[in-house]
Amino acid sequence: MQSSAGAMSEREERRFAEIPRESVRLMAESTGLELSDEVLALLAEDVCYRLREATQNSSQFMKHTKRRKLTVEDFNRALRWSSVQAVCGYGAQEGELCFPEDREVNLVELALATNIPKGCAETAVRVHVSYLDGKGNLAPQGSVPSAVSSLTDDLLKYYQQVTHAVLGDDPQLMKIALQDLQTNSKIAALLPYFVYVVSGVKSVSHDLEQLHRLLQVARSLVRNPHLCLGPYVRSLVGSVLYCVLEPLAASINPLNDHWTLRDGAALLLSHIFWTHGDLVSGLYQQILLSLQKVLADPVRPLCSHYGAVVGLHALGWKAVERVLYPHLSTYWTNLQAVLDDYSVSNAQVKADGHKVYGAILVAVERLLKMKARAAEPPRSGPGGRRPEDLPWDSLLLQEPPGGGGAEPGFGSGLPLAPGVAGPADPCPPVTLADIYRELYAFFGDSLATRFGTGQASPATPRPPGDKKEPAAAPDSARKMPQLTASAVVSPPGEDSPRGSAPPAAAAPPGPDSRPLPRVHRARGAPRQPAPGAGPRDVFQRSRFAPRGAPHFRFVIAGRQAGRRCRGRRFQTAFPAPCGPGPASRYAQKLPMIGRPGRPARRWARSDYSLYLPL
Amino acid sequence: MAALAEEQTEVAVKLEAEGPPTLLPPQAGDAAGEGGGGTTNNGPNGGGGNAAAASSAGGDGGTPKPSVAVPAVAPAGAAPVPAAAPEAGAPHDRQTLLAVLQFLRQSNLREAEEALRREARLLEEAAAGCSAPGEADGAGAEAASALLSRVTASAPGPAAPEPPGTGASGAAAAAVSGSATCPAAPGKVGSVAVEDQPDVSAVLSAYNQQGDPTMYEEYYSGLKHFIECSLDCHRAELSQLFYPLFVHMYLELVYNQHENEAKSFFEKFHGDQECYYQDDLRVLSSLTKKEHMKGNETMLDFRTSKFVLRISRDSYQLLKRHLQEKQNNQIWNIVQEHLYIDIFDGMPRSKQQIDAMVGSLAGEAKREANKSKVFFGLLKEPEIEVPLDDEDEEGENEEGKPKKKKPKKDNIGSKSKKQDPNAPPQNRIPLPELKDSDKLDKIMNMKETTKRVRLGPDCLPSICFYTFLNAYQGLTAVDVTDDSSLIAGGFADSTVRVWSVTPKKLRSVKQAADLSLIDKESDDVLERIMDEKTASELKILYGHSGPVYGASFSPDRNYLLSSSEDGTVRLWSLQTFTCLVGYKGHNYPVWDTQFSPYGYYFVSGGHDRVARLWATDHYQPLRIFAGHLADVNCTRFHPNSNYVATGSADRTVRLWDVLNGNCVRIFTGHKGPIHSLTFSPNGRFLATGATDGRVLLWDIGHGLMVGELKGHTDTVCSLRFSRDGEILASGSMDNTVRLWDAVKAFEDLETDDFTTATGHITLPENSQELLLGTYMTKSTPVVHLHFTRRNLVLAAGAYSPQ
Repeated sequence: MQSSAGAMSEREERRFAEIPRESVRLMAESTGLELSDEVLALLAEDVCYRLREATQNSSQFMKHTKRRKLTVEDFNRALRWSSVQAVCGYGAQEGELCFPEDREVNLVELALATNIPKGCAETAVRVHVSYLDGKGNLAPQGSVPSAVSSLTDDLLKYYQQVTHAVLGDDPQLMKIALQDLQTNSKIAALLPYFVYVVSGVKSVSHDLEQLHRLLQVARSLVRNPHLCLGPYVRSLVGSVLYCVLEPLAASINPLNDHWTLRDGAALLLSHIFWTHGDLVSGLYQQILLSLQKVLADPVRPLCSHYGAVVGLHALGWKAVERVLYPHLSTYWTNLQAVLDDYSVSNAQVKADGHKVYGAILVAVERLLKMKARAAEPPRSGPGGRRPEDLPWDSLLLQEPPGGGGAEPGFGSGLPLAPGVAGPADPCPPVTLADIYRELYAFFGDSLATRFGTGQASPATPRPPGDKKEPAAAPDSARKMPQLTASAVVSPPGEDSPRGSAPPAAAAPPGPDSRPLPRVHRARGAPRQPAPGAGPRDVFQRSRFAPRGAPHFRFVIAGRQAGRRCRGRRFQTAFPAPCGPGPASRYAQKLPMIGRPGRPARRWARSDYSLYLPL
Repeated sequence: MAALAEEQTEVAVKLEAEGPPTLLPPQAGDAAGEGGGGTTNNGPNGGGGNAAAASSAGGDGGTPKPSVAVPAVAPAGAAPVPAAAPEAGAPHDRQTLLAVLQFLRQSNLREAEEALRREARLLEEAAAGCSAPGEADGAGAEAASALLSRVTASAPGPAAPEPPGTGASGAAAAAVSGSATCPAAPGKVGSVAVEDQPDVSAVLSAYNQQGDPTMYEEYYSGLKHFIECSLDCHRAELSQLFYPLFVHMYLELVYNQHENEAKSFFEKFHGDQECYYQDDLRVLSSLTKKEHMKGNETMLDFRTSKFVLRISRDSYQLLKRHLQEKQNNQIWNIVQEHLYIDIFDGMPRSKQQIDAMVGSLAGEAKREANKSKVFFGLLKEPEIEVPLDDEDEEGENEEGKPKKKKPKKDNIGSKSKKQDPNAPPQNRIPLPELKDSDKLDKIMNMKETTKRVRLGPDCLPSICFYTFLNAYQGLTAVDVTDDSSLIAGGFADSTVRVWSVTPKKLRSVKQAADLSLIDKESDDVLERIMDEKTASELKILYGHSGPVYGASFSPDRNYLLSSSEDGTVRLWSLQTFTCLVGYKGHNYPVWDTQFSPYGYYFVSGGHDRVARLWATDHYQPLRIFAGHLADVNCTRFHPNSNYVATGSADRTVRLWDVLNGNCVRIFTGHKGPIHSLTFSPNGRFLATGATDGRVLLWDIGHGLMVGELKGHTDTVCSLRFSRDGEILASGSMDNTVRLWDAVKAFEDLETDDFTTATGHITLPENSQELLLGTYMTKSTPVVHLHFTRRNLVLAAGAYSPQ
């Protein structure tokens, strides 16, 4: 009996708000009264009842005002009608905590102020044909609500100030504006306008600075958690892709660092894709398609190709495998032609070529690494993270060891260029070894050295000022903007963008089931990995065992092992005077292509190419 | 204090003694003169001594209770007290009357007592002769104001038609009169006061006798067991008993101060009650002390009115036998004292049939409540010649001599030309004569009618949405003129705003000094009097001191009514955009107001549980429609202006006769407070919407529910039929407008004699077939709906981002 009564009273308490006796006692004491416990209990109970009654009555006022939210006014009205003094001070709409704030007001300032705060906006009526003949309105769903589309003065002012700040001269102001764009929760109504501003990239393609800033606006918009980008994702992606792919007017001048812009844009692209990919169906396919189109178009300048490669790289290794890898053989011919042209007039183009070469190298390197991890079931599981794994590695690796991974399916959506993708199976099970072999045919030892064949490369001192050193630095020390980007944006433990279902037919890299019809064995490839060898052993061991910087310092000659190179001998001549100087450090990054017999020029060009780091 | 009380009583007594005919006319002239003058702000002042007295009487609820008791009776003297008197034939009423007399004597109010005594005797005789309605009809021939004022004063007449029969119906009359007396006096204050007097409360309270408090649970569960074990066909009917018994047993426990028993009783059985009683149960559960019962409205409803149950004779016998066998006197007492069991012969009703009708605060309507004849037909439209082209000649119309020059127009007005057999006599209530401008408007209307879109399931209307921006959740009422040229919004900040939605801007009339300069003979004098400087598309009307809950344009677009939380209804001129009159009387928030379709009259309803009928030139109400047990949330005029429908928070809809103030229909079935009402254009049907999101359709002539439209998920705020009645549009707080096929809903009505006689209805479950479309807004509750003359839907609401 006792316990049931206790349970009941507990339920009672849950049903209503209760005023404890202590509160009543305090109130009584504040007016100088001493009350017995009995009286306190009675009073407390009565107060509770009166409160409930007033609340009940106040809901009437809410209902008649056609609101769903009970306001302080409603309650005060109920109090007034039951002849109780209204509670003053709690006038805020949201019923916030009220406390007397006694600020000093500078009257002079107030009097001289130019922007006297306005009151609330004027109530107005707008008419809108919502449904014509019982059918939905012509404006597409998801367009700006008509009620919002008419901007208030304040929003308009905000818009003007932000755009001025972003495109203006004051970097501090720009920073603040961008920060606000990223966090402000009340700018939904302005979204279309800002998206429109970003789409202005097409008209300022001559001005790298402006392009950078517009991209930053886009980045801020994407990162703002309060904005629902919805249909505007497409527009944003379009603008960003423009920066990635287009031969910008700014790239005519070799002094303009449009490469950084492209890198940043690619980064942003992948960010949008990873965070908002689910908003637009088929977005991934569309992006891939446009990247592929650029890559397959030999007429496009190299900077566009570069953009396509970094774009693919940023989208993840699956994208690289999907698009770049099948294209490589075709593309290689063009690139090789550029790189082999040593005429002075070609110097600029060749430099660009080197950038593309480096970008491809980085991309395929990660492709190989990821494939290797994926093929390593016991160690690549979610739990089996190796200590030397880089964060981005582990992030990208947290996929089922099945290897096909959770990258969005290409199967149906992506019409790959015929003849390029080869077999009809869109996702052919290509073994790691095969890929490596084929890639090795292109890149030769510059690829092999990147893997160090199992040995950790000794840390090499970084060239001062070279922030974006992309190439064969040891894994642990590498700083690849693209890679870091992937690490940042991909959600941990999930390698696929939200909303994209993992492909059903994720083929694990099986045994060497597929013959490599088009891959010519590199003539110089002496060792075949033993069947069933551990993934690490798959990589052909570099003939120049990278055992620290000194090794590289002098490794300057060899045999071009690519199939396109026809086994040319090559010699990368580092003149002795350069010796162990900074150049030696560059050696690791150098694309090891070249021709024996032209050492001097070779050096000059390699050197030059280093000034445009990848 | 005493002086104040005396003075107020004196007012009442004087009103009483001077007699009806002289009561209103002088004041009427007074108000009319001032109202017509169009000067600003004379409304409140124009009220004069009487209005002030009225406001002082009811307005200060803050004064201690003993003194409030007096004003409660005083202003009510005009209507409610005599209203109770005629039913003195019934024993209960005599008792009430005696109690009132005793109270008056105790309070030393000799004059009032004598007056009441005189009145009562007189009325008893009158009731015997029962000539009140005839009298009223005869008076109908007289001038408008005189007639209505007389009827008001002779309001005692109305209840007479109710057969003061034996036992059951006698108790019914008592219940009605009891409920009528209390709410009609300015609200609960009066009732509370009454309760403070021991003698009176003895009459009203019946919770004194009590059994053993610990046995209550046993009684209840015994009955529960019995009902659950009874045959299926009886179980549904007898289950109706659960809720009222539960409530009364609980209240008895609380009244007799068995707090713990009451709590445990509630805990144990409240889960058994139907879900639609949840709101009331919540109120009940907070009542745990006798002191709380004082002044609690829900409480009072249960004690002053009998809960009505409709049970077949078989089921009733079963119950009676059981209770007698078990010697279960406690429950039997409650059944006898607090319930009214309306027994019918024949098959017990099914669960569905019962569920459709129950849910109101006081049970179902008694069958005889819906038996009186209602003239639901439309009045004959006056003959107006429609100029076919741009002929500017106005058709001169005389009702007596129909002119039919052009047979072509026949098709337009034909339905109203023949006298509808269900229509009331043309002069049943006096209506204002048509002015020239009204005729012009009618011609315009007819022209538009020819261009009207014929709606149907295959031809749905277009919807225009008027969105109120920056209203900050403060939009409380909207109205649109019949010709869709003006839109008015009532706001929580006490303002009324009027917008012109056509390019024609709103202009005021010039100042008096400027008006005198105008050449009054010129042709365009109407244009010249307007002040071009004041043209704007928005006019704001200031005057209320609380949120404006209701707004209504007059049919001729010259006036606007607004009702507010401050207890007043204000009449605004749309010529000068100033307030003309403030009608005081409700003294509590006025939730809704509406002009009659013929102008001149208007109705208002509010928190004081009564609806009032007013004429614009009288500052006091012509009728007080009392009977609802909770707030009157919405009020609408029947298209023929002879009836008024009110929807209430007691979950009933009532239809009142304007002529004699009688309640002629009580519709129960809603499970939540009713917030919207509309009549079909042909006057036959009524649609009502409630907070539970359901729309119910009623046949007025037969007094039956004929349809249920389910679909909305929140309060239905607005309802409107299309101009020809084919489509019903409903707007809701769930941000949708829904269109329903009204033709189909009313098409296959089975109004056979049996259904009509018993009131047993079986509703078709066809909401989904009737739903023609659901139209979302972004985030805007639909507060108002309107069909233009060409059947375009105008919806209105305030954008409220969530």
